[in-house]
Amino acid sequence: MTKSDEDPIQSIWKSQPILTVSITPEAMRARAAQFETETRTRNKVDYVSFALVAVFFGIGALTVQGAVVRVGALLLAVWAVIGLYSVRRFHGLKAQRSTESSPSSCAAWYQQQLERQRDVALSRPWGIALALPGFALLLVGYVDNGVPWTASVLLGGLGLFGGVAVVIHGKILAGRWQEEINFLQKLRTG
Amino acid sequence: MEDDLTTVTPDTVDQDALYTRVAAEFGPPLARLAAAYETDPSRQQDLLQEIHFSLWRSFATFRNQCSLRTWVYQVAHNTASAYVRGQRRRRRMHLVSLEDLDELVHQADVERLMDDAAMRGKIKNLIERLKPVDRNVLLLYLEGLKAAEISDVVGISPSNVAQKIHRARKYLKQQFQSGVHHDQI
Repeated sequence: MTKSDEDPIQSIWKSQPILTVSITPEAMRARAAQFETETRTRNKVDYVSFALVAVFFGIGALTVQGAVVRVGALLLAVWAVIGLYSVRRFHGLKAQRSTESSPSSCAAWYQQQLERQRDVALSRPWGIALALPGFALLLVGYVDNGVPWTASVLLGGLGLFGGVAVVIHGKILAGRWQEEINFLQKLRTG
Repeated sequence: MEDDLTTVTPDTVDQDALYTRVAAEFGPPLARLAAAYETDPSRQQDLLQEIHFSLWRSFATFRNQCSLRTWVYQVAHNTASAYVRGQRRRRRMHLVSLEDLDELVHQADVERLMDDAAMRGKIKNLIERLKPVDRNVLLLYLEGLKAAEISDVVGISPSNVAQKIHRARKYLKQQFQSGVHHDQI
């Protein structure tokens, strides 16, 4: 790239009209504080969502009629608690990553993003699978309690279809991202 | 951008001083980076502020692990890439081009302003269609960084960088030629 300084295209690029920003350090700190508040709020919404599901099924496990339905509701409450723990762990890892001492190269950063997306896509089916026993027991229990079995089968079928769709979609996306990861890996080491 | 601010606390004086210095020194390249990633003026302003904010945050942990220039470009490009990923509206495509425009550009002095704007439009169009790493390489090249410096920022070998720049230049040349021909008709 010996002629890079003389390349007219670089001159054209650099001669474009540009925006200017003037942000004082004080404004940066104010923005940082606001950003931190927003992040905490968003995290809390995640926790509260799982907590509400846990409480809902927890109360159901104590109050509804039929042992099978109760066990199903209890399993779903446990599933929500596990979800709550996973979300907390996810937020913790995010915070940990942000304290890394130096930024990644662009290729490494992009590869990390893809790997994270791939992992999320691949782990999603496990999250669904953990809810299945509770969901199945709930449906069986409803039939025991007199709810028409057709309604339970329909609900179960819909749930199963949705779960399978999520799994297949996740697999397809993960495969696509893995190809991109392999390409980047080759580029970085090549 | 990461969802945490634990890096923002120690050494705020140095952090502020460093940011002020960088904002003055790298202001134009950062603005062009934002312009390359976002054409809408108000969103471009948002992205530019986001880049400045990321840089300011990052300086809390800057201890000369690498050159300041490499650091600035890495943080800025990663922030811009995250923005694009958030927008979810970019498409993938092949590589780029730039070089043999010399003659055409020099011949068209009368229409220089219009041609420059058209050329920048073509470059931005190309950038939008590039894969992230290729986009990084082209933008850094346009800012005048050498292959070795681009290699440091992007994290791929200098030979790969040179190859990508060569392709980018070739592609842009074709685009520019077809554009000028079309305008002249």
